[in-house]
Amino acid sequence: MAPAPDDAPAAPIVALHHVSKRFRSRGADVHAVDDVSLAILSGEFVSIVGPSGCGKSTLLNMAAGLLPPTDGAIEVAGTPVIGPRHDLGIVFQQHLLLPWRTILNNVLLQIEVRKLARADYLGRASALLKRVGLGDFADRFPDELSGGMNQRAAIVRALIHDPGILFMDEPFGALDAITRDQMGLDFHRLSREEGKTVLFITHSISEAVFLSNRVVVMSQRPGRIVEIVPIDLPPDRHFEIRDEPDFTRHTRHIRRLFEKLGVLRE
Amino acid sequence: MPGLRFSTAKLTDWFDRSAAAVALIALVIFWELAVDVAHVPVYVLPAPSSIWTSAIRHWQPLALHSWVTLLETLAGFGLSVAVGLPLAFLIVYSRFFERLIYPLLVASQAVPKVALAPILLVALGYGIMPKIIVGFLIAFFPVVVNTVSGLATVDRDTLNLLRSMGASKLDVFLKVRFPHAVPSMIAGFKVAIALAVVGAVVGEFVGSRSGLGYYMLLATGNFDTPLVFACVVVLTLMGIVLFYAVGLLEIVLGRFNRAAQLAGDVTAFGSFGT
Repeated sequence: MAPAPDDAPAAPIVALHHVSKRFRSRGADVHAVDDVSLAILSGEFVSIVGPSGCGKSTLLNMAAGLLPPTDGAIEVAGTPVIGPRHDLGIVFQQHLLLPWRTILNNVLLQIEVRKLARADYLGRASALLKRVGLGDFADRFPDELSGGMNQRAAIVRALIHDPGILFMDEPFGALDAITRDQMGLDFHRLSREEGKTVLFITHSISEAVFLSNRVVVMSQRPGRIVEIVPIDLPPDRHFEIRDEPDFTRHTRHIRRLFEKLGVLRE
Repeated sequence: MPGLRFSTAKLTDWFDRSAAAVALIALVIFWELAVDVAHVPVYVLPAPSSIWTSAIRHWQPLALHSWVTLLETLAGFGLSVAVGLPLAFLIVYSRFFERLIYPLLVASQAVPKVALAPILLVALGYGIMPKIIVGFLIAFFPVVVNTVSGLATVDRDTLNLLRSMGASKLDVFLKVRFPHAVPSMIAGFKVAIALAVVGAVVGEFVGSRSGLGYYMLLATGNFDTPLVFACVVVLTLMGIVLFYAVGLLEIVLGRFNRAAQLAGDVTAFGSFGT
């Protein structure tokens, strides 16, 4: 289990030191991530925003121990990452629910695989499903639910074992714009209530600003950190703040960074 | 007029469901009449009615020989599943098998296995064994190929998700790969059972003292064409029944295949593999 937020307030819970990734793809050398250093504090909500193929998902996979970095070192919860980490909750762009399992059994897959007692987590599973509006759908199958509902179930699956850290790899990228906004807000509140540290990958500037304490802006390949933008918006987020000058000031700033990089052109 | 449209829709619906049966009945009637009108000799093309009469008259030997062919078919199919499934697991889990065995297996499909029947006859004699082996040789390939593709097409993120939960290889197999592979595995079984029938009959053609293949050769020697046709009809029915029997397996394992489960409206089949 990850230490509680007040264990060591100054020490980062996720730390990347000069992390690079190169790999061979179709006979060509790809330099995906170049010298990325980043420290995330416990309880923080940090987003990484960047163009497609900038290596942001690669970065997340390396931090989760699913992919070894070529250079550099990664620490999570004070221990070096040398293989798949089991103390995280991960949500991918696709919900990855198993179609032959009900929503509840998909959530409890996390518990079964970890060899934990199913009975101990039934209450938490029901409470979390209810919390995300799936209380009446626990016994349904994924193909009976909408994409947004399935993604909510995937979030519950990532939370059920109560990890301290959540890694979110473009979790709302496959959803329609309105569902996406709602999911973003709901997830923000849920993760704040549960006191989680969140690393959130997105290619949406406004989504990153809306959700985060800090936004890490990455360049196109080879992915480097261009700037880390602190978001000084009130911790309690509402849709209204998207129209506030404080919000648009941040989105404009990040957009201009991308314009400077040539990622966006007028 | 909504009433009329309703009945038209109903008629179309009925036709959609029964089209194949209607066409079959029409064909049989046409066959009967054509043979009668054109005075086709019975040893060239017997009318359906004379095939039926012959089948009734010879029902006892027909049943006896069908039983033999059925056993050979089931044994050939069973052997191809018993060998094919473990081989598929090895190919998916062992790089060595994937690199060495799989290409050889694919290449071996160029060998006309039916042509091996006489060799098997020399080696194994006139008994049931060479028929089972021919059936196995042609039926196990679709079992292997379909199972391999089912096991191997689990996407990378799902595997990553399981790794992040600390899943063992056995967990990944039991909870993801195997259930994911069930629909394509059963598709392979369906092809295999049809091929096992072919294998058994070919084996009997080459050298046998029983089975429908043997009985057909006997009837041909006697110019008893209606009996030959009766054998073909019985073989066809056997193939259809076996095909649907494998289809039943799909419903039993339907938990793994949500689409099939919805279509078959099957809801409760324990918690096998979960």
